[in-house]
Amino acid sequence: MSRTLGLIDVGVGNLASLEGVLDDMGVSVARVSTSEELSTMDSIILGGVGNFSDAMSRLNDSGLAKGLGNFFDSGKPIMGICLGMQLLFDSGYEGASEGGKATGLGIIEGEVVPLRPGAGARVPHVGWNQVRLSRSHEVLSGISDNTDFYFVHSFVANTVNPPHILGVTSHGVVFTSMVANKNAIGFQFHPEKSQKAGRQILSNFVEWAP
Amino acid sequence: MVRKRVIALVLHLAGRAVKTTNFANPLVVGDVARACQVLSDQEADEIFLLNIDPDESSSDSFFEVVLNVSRRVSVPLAIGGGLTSQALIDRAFSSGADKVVVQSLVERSPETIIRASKKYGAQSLVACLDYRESPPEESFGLGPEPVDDAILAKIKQVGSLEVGEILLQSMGRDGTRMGLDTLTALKAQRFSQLPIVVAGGAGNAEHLADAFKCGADGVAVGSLFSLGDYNPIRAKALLRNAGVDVRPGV
Repeated sequence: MSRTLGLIDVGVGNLASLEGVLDDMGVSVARVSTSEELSTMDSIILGGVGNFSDAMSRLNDSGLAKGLGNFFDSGKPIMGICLGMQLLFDSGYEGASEGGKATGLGIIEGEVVPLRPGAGARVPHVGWNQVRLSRSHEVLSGISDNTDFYFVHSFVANTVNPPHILGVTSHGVVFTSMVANKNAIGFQFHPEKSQKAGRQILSNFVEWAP
Repeated sequence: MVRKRVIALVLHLAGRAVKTTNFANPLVVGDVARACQVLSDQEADEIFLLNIDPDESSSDSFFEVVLNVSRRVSVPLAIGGGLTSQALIDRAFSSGADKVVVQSLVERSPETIIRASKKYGAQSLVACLDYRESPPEESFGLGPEPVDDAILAKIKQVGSLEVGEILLQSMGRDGTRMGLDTLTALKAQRFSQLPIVVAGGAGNAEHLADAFKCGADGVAVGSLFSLGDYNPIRAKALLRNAGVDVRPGV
Protein backbone atom coordinates (compact mmCIF):
# COMPACT_ATOMS: atom_id res chain seq x y z
CA MET A 1 0.00 0.00 0.00
CA SER A 2 1.35 3.40 -0.88
CA ARG A 3 2.20 5.78 1.91
CA THR A 4 0.94 9.35 1.81
CA LEU A 5 2.87 12.34 3.10
CA GLY A 6 0.65 15.22 4.22
CA LEU A 7 1.70 18.82 3.73
CA ILE A 8 0.31 21.42 6.10
CA ASP A 9 0.62 25.07 5.19
CA VAL A 10 1.10 26.60 8.64
CA GLY A 11 1.41 30.09 7.22
CA VAL A 12 0.30 31.61 3.96
CA GLY A 13 2.29 29.64 1.35
CA ASN A 14 4.52 28.87 -0.39
CA LEU A 15 4.43 25.08 -0.61
CA ALA A 16 4.89 24.85 -4.39
CA SER A 17 8.62 24.24 -4.25
CA LEU A 18 8.35 21.65 -1.47
CA GLU A 19 5.60 19.90 -3.39
CA GLY A 20 7.74 20.01 -6.55
CA VAL A 21 10.75 18.36 -4.89
CA LEU A 22 8.60 15.63 -3.27
CA ASP A 23 6.78 14.99 -6.57
CA ASP A 24 10.14 14.58 -8.30
CA MET A 25 11.11 12.01 -5.70
CA GLY A 26 7.96 10.05 -6.49
CA VAL A 27 6.39 10.66 -3.09
CA SER A 28 2.60 10.60 -2.83
CA VAL A 29 1.75 14.04 -1.40
CA ALA A 30 -1.58 15.46 -0.18
CA ARG A 31 -2.40 18.92 1.16
CA VAL A 32 -3.98 18.66 4.60
CA SER A 33 -6.29 21.29 6.06
CA THR A 34 -8.44 19.40 8.60
CA SER A 35 -7.67 17.06 11.48
CA GLU A 36 -9.77 14.35 9.77
CA GLU A 37 -7.47 14.47 6.74
CA LEU A 38 -4.47 14.60 9.05
CA SER A 39 -5.38 11.36 10.81
CA THR A 40 -5.23 9.41 7.51
CA MET A 41 -1.63 10.51 6.71
CA ASP A 42 1.49 8.39 7.23
CA SER A 43 3.78 11.36 7.83
CA ILE A 44 3.48 15.14 7.95
CA ILE A 45 5.55 18.16 6.93
CA LEU A 46 4.72 21.63 8.31
CA GLY A 47 5.86 24.32 5.87
CA GLY A 48 4.99 27.82 4.72
CA VAL A 49 5.88 31.34 5.69
CA GLY A 50 4.16 33.77 8.05
CA ASN A 51 4.37 34.67 11.72
CA PHE A 52 4.20 32.48 14.83
CA SER A 53 1.10 33.91 16.51
CA ASP A 54 -1.02 34.07 13.33
CA ALA A 55 0.02 30.56 12.38
CA MET A 56 -0.93 29.17 15.81
CA SER A 57 -4.32 30.95 15.69
CA ARG A 58 -5.04 29.32 12.35
CA LEU A 59 -3.94 25.87 13.56
CA ASN A 60 -6.10 26.25 16.68
CA ASP A 61 -9.14 27.46 14.71
CA SER A 62 -8.93 24.60 12.23
CA GLY A 63 -8.44 21.99 14.95
CA LEU A 64 -5.08 21.06 13.43
CA ALA A 65 -3.13 22.06 16.55
CA LYS A 66 -4.92 19.39 18.59
CA GLY A 67 -4.74 16.98 15.65
CA LEU A 68 -0.96 17.45 15.41
CA GLY A 69 -0.62 16.66 19.13
CA ASN A 70 -2.48 13.38 18.55
CA PHE A 71 -0.45 12.70 15.41
CA PHE A 72 2.76 13.15 17.42
CA ASP A 73 1.46 10.82 20.14
CA SER A 74 0.67 8.19 17.51
CA GLY A 75 4.40 7.96 16.74
CA LYS A 76 4.21 8.86 13.04
CA PRO A 77 6.96 11.13 11.61
CA ILE A 78 6.50 14.92 11.70
CA MET A 79 8.86 17.43 10.09
CA GLY A 80 8.77 21.19 10.66
CA ILE A 81 10.53 23.55 8.26
CA CYS A 82 11.42 27.15 9.22
CA LEU A 83 8.23 28.56 10.81
CA GLY A 84 6.99 24.96 10.90
CA MET A 85 9.95 24.02 13.08
CA GLN A 86 9.41 27.01 15.35
CA LEU A 87 5.78 25.99 15.96
CA LEU A 88 6.94 22.62 17.34
CA PHE A 89 8.20 24.46 20.44
CA ASP A 90 6.28 25.49 23.57
CA SER A 91 5.94 29.19 22.77
CA GLY A 92 7.02 32.09 20.59
CA TYR A 93 7.21 35.88 20.77
CA GLU A 94 6.65 36.74 17.08
CA GLY A 95 3.38 38.59 16.52
CA ALA A 96 2.30 38.13 20.14
CA SER A 97 0.81 41.05 22.06
CA GLU A 98 3.31 43.38 23.71
CA GLY A 99 5.48 41.58 26.25
CA GLY A 100 3.58 38.32 25.86
CA LYS A 101 4.11 35.16 23.94
CA ALA A 102 1.94 32.77 21.98
CA THR A 103 1.58 29.11 22.85
CA GLY A 104 3.09 26.68 20.34
CA LEU A 105 2.44 22.99 19.67
CA GLY A 106 4.59 21.94 22.65
CA ILE A 107 6.10 18.94 20.87
CA ILE A 108 9.67 20.05 21.64
CA GLU A 109 10.76 21.97 24.75
CA GLY A 110 11.90 25.54 24.15
CA GLU A 111 10.75 28.97 23.04
CA VAL A 112 11.18 31.06 19.90
CA VAL A 113 12.81 34.47 20.33
CA PRO A 114 14.08 37.27 18.05
CA LEU A 115 17.52 36.66 16.52
CA ARG A 116 19.87 39.25 18.07
CA PRO A 117 23.29 38.59 16.60
CA GLY A 118 25.02 41.79 17.74
CA ALA A 119 27.38 43.90 15.68
CA GLY A 120 28.45 42.83 12.22
CA ALA A 121 25.73 40.28 11.46
CA ARG A 122 22.54 41.35 9.73
CA VAL A 123 18.93 40.43 10.44
CA PRO A 124 17.10 38.76 8.79
CA HIS A 125 19.59 35.95 8.49
CA VAL A 126 19.29 35.39 4.73
CA GLY A 127 21.43 33.06 2.67
CA TRP A 128 23.55 29.93 2.83
CA ASN A 129 25.18 29.00 6.10
CA GLN A 130 26.79 25.94 7.62
CA VAL A 131 25.24 23.52 10.07
CA ARG A 132 27.47 21.87 12.65
CA LEU A 133 26.15 18.44 13.58
CA SER A 134 25.59 17.91 17.31
CA ARG A 135 24.62 14.26 17.04
CA SER A 136 23.64 11.68 14.47
CA HIS A 137 20.07 10.96 13.38
CA GLU A 138 18.53 8.68 10.75
CA VAL A 139 17.15 11.67 8.82
CA LEU A 140 20.71 13.11 8.62
CA SER A 141 22.16 10.01 7.02
CA GLY A 142 24.67 11.05 4.32
CA ILE A 143 24.87 14.67 5.56
CA SER A 144 28.43 15.81 6.37
CA ASP A 145 29.37 18.11 9.20
CA ASN A 146 29.36 21.81 8.19
CA THR A 147 27.17 21.36 5.11
CA ASP A 148 25.61 24.60 3.77
CA PHE A 149 21.85 25.08 3.82
CA TYR A 150 19.61 28.02 2.88
CA PHE A 151 18.20 30.14 5.72
CA VAL A 152 15.75 33.03 5.73
CA HIS A 153 14.45 33.98 9.19
CA SER A 154 14.48 36.59 11.96
CA PHE A 155 13.51 34.39 14.94
CA VAL A 156 15.34 31.44 16.49
CA ALA A 157 14.74 28.62 18.96
CA ASN A 158 16.06 29.24 22.45
CA THR A 159 16.38 27.23 25.70
CA VAL A 160 16.27 23.98 23.75
CA ASN A 161 16.90 20.88 25.82
CA PRO A 162 20.46 19.84 24.76
CA PRO A 163 19.59 16.19 23.93
CA HIS A 164 17.07 17.53 21.39
CA ILE A 165 19.64 19.62 19.51
CA LEU A 166 20.73 17.97 16.25
CA GLY A 167 22.76 20.85 14.85
CA VAL A 168 23.76 24.46 15.34
CA THR A 169 24.61 27.41 13.12
CA SER A 170 26.60 30.56 13.76
CA HIS A 171 25.43 34.02 12.67
CA GLY A 172 26.84 36.45 15.19
CA VAL A 173 25.41 34.08 17.79
CA VAL A 174 25.24 30.29 17.74
CA PHE A 175 21.66 29.04 17.50
CA THR A 176 19.87 25.70 17.18
CA SER A 177 19.26 25.02 13.48
CA MET A 178 18.08 21.38 13.72
CA VAL A 179 16.08 19.67 16.47
CA ALA A 180 14.49 16.30 17.08
CA ASN A 181 12.36 14.74 19.78
CA LYS A 182 11.14 11.17 19.28
CA ASN A 183 9.21 11.10 15.98
CA ALA A 184 9.40 14.88 15.39
CA ILE A 185 12.24 16.67 13.61
CA GLY A 186 12.66 20.34 12.71
CA PHE A 187 14.90 22.45 10.48
CA GLN A 188 15.32 26.21 10.70
CA PHE A 189 16.69 26.18 7.14
CA HIS A 190 14.84 25.15 3.98
CA PRO A 191 15.80 21.62 2.82
CA GLU A 192 13.62 22.11 -0.28
CA LYS A 193 15.77 25.12 -1.29
CA SER A 194 19.11 23.59 -0.38
CA GLN A 195 19.98 21.58 -3.48
CA LYS A 196 21.45 18.07 -3.07
CA ALA A 197 21.91 18.05 0.71
CA GLY A 198 18.37 19.31 1.27
CA ARG A 199 16.97 16.70 -1.05
CA GLN A 200 18.92 14.03 0.85
CA ILE A 201 17.23 15.11 4.10
CA LEU A 202 13.76 15.00 2.52
CA SER A 203 14.47 11.60 1.03
CA ASN A 204 15.73 10.28 4.40
CA PHE A 205 12.59 11.65 6.07
CA VAL A 206 10.34 9.82 3.62
CA GLU A 207 12.12 6.54 4.53
CA TRP A 208 12.19 7.26 8.28
CA ALA A 209 10.38 4.79 10.54
CA PRO A 210 10.81 6.14 14.09
CA MET B 1 28.52 33.60 9.48
CA VAL B 2 26.17 33.61 6.56
CA ARG B 3 27.97 33.27 3.21
CA LYS B 4 28.20 36.01 0.59
CA ARG B 5 25.65 35.29 -2.15
CA VAL B 6 26.11 35.14 -5.91
CA ILE B 7 22.61 35.68 -7.26
CA ALA B 8 21.55 35.10 -10.87
CA LEU B 9 19.34 37.91 -12.16
CA VAL B 10 16.96 36.84 -14.95
CA LEU B 11 14.68 39.30 -16.75
CA HIS B 12 11.36 38.25 -18.30
CA LEU B 13 9.84 40.03 -21.30
CA ALA B 14 7.01 38.60 -23.42
CA GLY B 15 7.72 35.01 -22.44
CA ARG B 16 11.47 35.16 -23.07
CA ALA B 17 14.58 35.74 -20.97
CA VAL B 18 16.18 39.03 -21.99
CA LYS B 19 19.14 41.19 -21.01
CA THR B 20 19.03 44.98 -21.07
CA THR B 21 21.65 47.69 -21.25
CA ASN B 22 20.96 50.77 -19.09
CA PHE B 23 17.43 49.37 -18.59
CA ALA B 24 16.79 49.56 -22.38
CA ASN B 25 17.42 47.61 -25.59
CA PRO B 26 16.34 44.17 -24.37
CA LEU B 27 18.20 41.37 -26.11
CA VAL B 28 16.64 37.89 -26.07
CA VAL B 29 19.00 35.46 -24.35
CA GLY B 30 16.84 32.33 -24.12
CA ASP B 31 14.00 30.52 -22.44
CA VAL B 32 13.23 31.67 -18.89
CA ALA B 33 12.58 28.27 -17.29
CA ARG B 34 15.54 26.63 -18.97
CA ALA B 35 17.87 29.51 -18.06
CA CYS B 36 16.77 29.38 -14.42
CA GLN B 37 17.15 25.61 -14.24
CA VAL B 38 20.69 25.78 -15.67
CA LEU B 39 21.65 28.58 -13.24
CA SER B 40 20.27 26.53 -10.32
CA ASP B 41 22.21 23.44 -11.47
CA GLN B 42 25.31 25.63 -11.79
CA GLU B 43 24.96 26.49 -8.10
CA ALA B 44 23.75 30.07 -8.21
CA ASP B 45 22.94 30.80 -4.56
CA GLU B 46 19.57 32.30 -5.46
CA ILE B 47 17.61 33.40 -8.51
CA PHE B 48 15.94 36.79 -8.87
CA LEU B 49 13.40 36.67 -11.72
CA LEU B 50 11.99 40.08 -12.66
CA ASN B 51 9.23 40.84 -15.16
CA ILE B 52 10.21 43.97 -17.12
CA ASP B 53 7.16 44.00 -19.40
CA PRO B 54 5.48 47.40 -18.87
CA ASP B 55 2.14 45.97 -20.03
CA GLU B 56 0.09 45.17 -16.91
CA SER B 57 -1.72 42.35 -18.72
CA SER B 58 1.60 40.48 -18.94
CA SER B 59 1.32 39.36 -15.31
CA ASP B 60 -0.93 36.36 -16.09
CA SER B 61 1.58 34.79 -18.45
CA PHE B 62 4.46 35.80 -16.18
CA PHE B 63 2.95 33.93 -13.20
CA GLU B 64 2.60 30.84 -15.40
CA VAL B 65 6.32 31.08 -16.14
CA VAL B 66 7.03 31.55 -12.41
CA LEU B 67 5.11 28.39 -11.50
CA ASN B 68 7.08 26.43 -14.07
CA VAL B 69 10.41 27.90 -12.88
CA SER B 70 9.64 27.27 -9.20
CA ARG B 71 9.24 23.58 -9.87
CA ARG B 72 12.51 23.35 -11.80
CA VAL B 73 14.96 25.13 -9.50
CA SER B 74 16.39 23.84 -6.22
CA VAL B 75 17.56 27.21 -4.90
CA PRO B 76 15.47 30.11 -3.55
CA LEU B 77 13.48 32.10 -6.09
CA ALA B 78 12.65 35.79 -5.69
CA ILE B 79 9.98 37.25 -8.00
CA GLY B 80 9.40 40.88 -8.92
CA GLY B 81 8.43 43.41 -11.54
CA GLY B 82 5.04 45.06 -11.77
CA LEU B 83 3.86 43.80 -8.37
CA THR B 84 1.80 46.90 -7.65
CA SER B 85 -0.88 45.52 -5.31
CA GLN B 86 -1.45 43.09 -2.46
CA ALA B 87 -3.33 40.81 -4.88
CA LEU B 88 -0.32 40.59 -7.23
CA ILE B 89 2.03 39.92 -4.30
CA ASP B 90 -0.30 37.12 -3.19
CA ARG B 91 -0.23 35.64 -6.69
CA ALA B 92 3.58 35.78 -6.81
CA PHE B 93 3.79 33.76 -3.58
CA SER B 94 1.11 31.31 -4.65
CA SER B 95 2.94 30.83 -7.98
CA GLY B 96 6.02 29.62 -6.13
CA ALA B 97 7.98 32.72 -5.13
CA ASP B 98 10.03 32.25 -1.98
CA LYS B 99 10.56 35.99 -1.79
CA VAL B 100 8.91 38.91 -3.51
CA VAL B 101 10.69 41.98 -4.86
CA VAL B 102 8.72 45.20 -4.45
CA GLN B 103 9.68 48.34 -6.27
CA SER B 104 7.15 51.04 -7.14
CA LEU B 105 5.21 50.31 -3.93
CA VAL B 106 8.14 51.73 -1.95
CA GLU B 107 7.14 55.18 -3.22
CA ARG B 108 3.49 54.74 -4.11
CA SER B 109 2.08 52.62 -1.31
CA PRO B 110 4.38 51.85 1.63
CA GLU B 111 1.31 50.69 3.60
CA THR B 112 0.81 47.84 1.12
CA ILE B 113 4.36 46.67 1.84
CA ILE B 114 3.76 46.83 5.59
CA ARG B 115 0.57 44.78 5.18
CA ALA B 116 2.42 42.20 3.07
CA SER B 117 5.13 42.07 5.70
CA LYS B 118 2.58 41.28 8.43
CA LYS B 119 1.24 38.47 6.27
CA TYR B 120 4.42 36.91 4.89
CA GLY B 121 7.08 38.16 7.30
CA ALA B 122 9.62 40.90 6.55
CA GLN B 123 12.22 38.30 5.55
CA SER B 124 10.09 37.39 2.51
CA LEU B 125 10.22 40.89 1.00
CA VAL B 126 13.02 42.55 -0.97
CA ALA B 127 12.84 46.29 -1.68
CA CYS B 128 14.34 47.13 -5.08
CA LEU B 129 15.74 50.62 -5.59
CA ASP B 130 16.77 51.62 -9.12
CA TYR B 131 18.96 54.67 -9.22
CA ARG B 132 21.24 56.78 -11.33
CA GLU B 133 24.56 57.59 -9.76
CA SER B 134 25.25 61.26 -9.19
CA PRO B 135 28.25 62.77 -10.95
CA PRO B 136 31.43 62.09 -8.92
CA GLU B 137 31.74 65.61 -7.51
CA GLU B 138 28.32 65.34 -5.87
CA SER B 139 28.69 61.87 -4.36
CA PHE B 140 32.22 62.42 -3.13
CA GLY B 141 33.03 61.52 0.45
CA LEU B 142 31.65 59.23 3.12
CA GLY B 143 30.70 61.90 5.63
CA PRO B 144 28.19 61.27 8.39
CA GLU B 145 25.40 63.30 6.76
CA PRO B 146 25.20 62.55 3.05
CA VAL B 147 21.81 64.26 2.79
CA ASP B 148 22.47 65.25 -0.80
CA ASP B 149 22.42 61.66 -1.82
CA ALA B 150 18.95 60.67 -3.04
CA ILE B 151 19.65 56.94 -2.96
CA LEU B 152 20.77 57.05 0.67
CA ALA B 153 17.57 58.85 1.61
CA LYS B 154 15.62 56.04 -0.04
CA ILE B 155 17.69 53.37 1.70
CA LYS B 156 16.89 54.98 5.05
CA GLN B 157 13.20 55.22 4.13
CA VAL B 158 13.14 51.50 3.29
CA GLY B 159 14.46 50.79 6.79
CA SER B 160 11.04 51.71 8.17
CA LEU B 161 9.09 49.48 5.75
CA GLU B 162 9.65 46.06 7.32
CA VAL B 163 11.37 44.44 4.38
CA GLY B 164 14.08 41.80 4.70
CA GLU B 165 16.70 43.07 2.27
CA ILE B 166 17.50 45.79 -0.25
CA LEU B 167 18.35 45.30 -3.94
CA LEU B 168 20.23 48.30 -5.36
CA GLN B 169 20.27 48.48 -9.16
CA SER B 170 22.53 51.01 -10.83
CA MET B 171 20.79 51.90 -14.10
CA GLY B 172 23.91 53.49 -15.55
CA ARG B 173 25.94 50.31 -15.06
CA ASP B 174 23.24 47.81 -16.14
CA GLY B 175 24.56 45.64 -18.98
CA THR B 176 27.87 47.52 -19.24
CA ARG B 177 30.11 45.05 -17.33
CA MET B 178 32.15 48.08 -16.21
CA GLY B 179 32.22 47.08 -12.54
CA LEU B 180 29.70 47.38 -9.70
CA ASP B 181 28.93 50.56 -7.78
CA THR B 182 31.11 49.82 -4.75
CA LEU B 183 30.78 53.33 -3.30
CA THR B 184 27.01 53.00 -2.92
CA ALA B 185 27.44 49.45 -1.55
CA LEU B 186 29.81 50.82 1.07
CA LYS B 187 27.44 53.63 2.06
CA ALA B 188 24.37 51.39 2.05
CA GLN B 189 25.82 48.85 4.43
CA ARG B 190 26.74 51.68 6.80
CA PHE B 191 23.33 53.32 6.70
CA SER B 192 21.13 50.23 6.80
CA GLN B 193 20.95 47.20 9.08
CA LEU B 194 19.42 45.11 6.30
CA PRO B 195 21.28 42.75 3.98
CA ILE B 196 22.32 44.63 0.82
CA VAL B 197 22.31 43.14 -2.69
CA VAL B 198 23.88 45.18 -5.51
CA ALA B 199 23.28 44.80 -9.24
CA GLY B 200 24.52 46.45 -12.42
CA GLY B 201 27.93 46.30 -14.02
CA ALA B 202 29.39 42.94 -12.95
CA GLY B 203 31.91 42.05 -15.65
CA ASN B 204 34.26 39.59 -13.97
CA ALA B 205 34.95 37.89 -10.64
CA GLU B 206 37.13 40.78 -9.44
CA HIS B 207 34.17 43.11 -9.75
CA LEU B 208 32.14 40.77 -7.56
CA ALA B 209 34.97 40.49 -5.03
CA ASP B 210 35.23 44.30 -4.88
CA ALA B 211 31.51 44.66 -4.13
CA PHE B 212 31.63 41.98 -1.42
CA LYS B 213 34.66 43.59 0.17
CA CYS B 214 32.76 46.90 0.21
CA GLY B 215 30.02 45.32 2.30
CA ALA B 216 27.54 43.89 -0.20
CA ASP B 217 25.89 40.74 1.18
CA GLY B 218 24.91 39.59 -2.30
CA VAL B 219 25.62 40.51 -5.90
CA ALA B 220 22.97 39.99 -8.58
CA VAL B 221 24.51 39.05 -11.90
CA GLY B 222 22.82 39.38 -15.31
CA SER B 223 24.96 39.78 -18.46
CA LEU B 224 27.97 38.02 -17.01
CA PHE B 225 26.02 34.75 -16.82
CA SER B 226 23.66 35.18 -19.78
CA LEU B 227 26.06 36.68 -22.32
CA GLY B 228 29.56 36.06 -20.96
CA ASP B 229 31.52 32.85 -20.64
CA TYR B 230 31.07 32.84 -16.85
CA ASN B 231 28.74 30.67 -14.84
CA PRO B 232 28.03 30.64 -11.09
CA ILE B 233 30.38 27.70 -10.39
CA ARG B 234 33.30 29.45 -12.06
CA ALA B 235 32.53 32.83 -10.50
CA LYS B 236 32.39 31.31 -7.02
CA ALA B 237 35.59 29.31 -7.49
CA LEU B 238 37.39 32.54 -8.45
CA LEU B 239 35.79 34.37 -5.50
CA ARG B 240 36.97 31.70 -3.08
CA ASN B 241 40.49 32.10 -4.46
CA ALA B 242 40.13 35.84 -3.85
CA GLY B 243 39.30 35.17 -0.19
CA VAL B 244 35.54 35.79 -0.36
CA ASP B 245 33.43 33.47 1.82
CA VAL B 246 31.00 31.98 -0.72
CA ARG B 247 29.22 28.64 -0.56
CA PRO B 248 31.53 25.86 -1.72
CA GLY B 249 30.50 23.59 -4.58
CA VAL B 250 28.27 20.63 -3.75
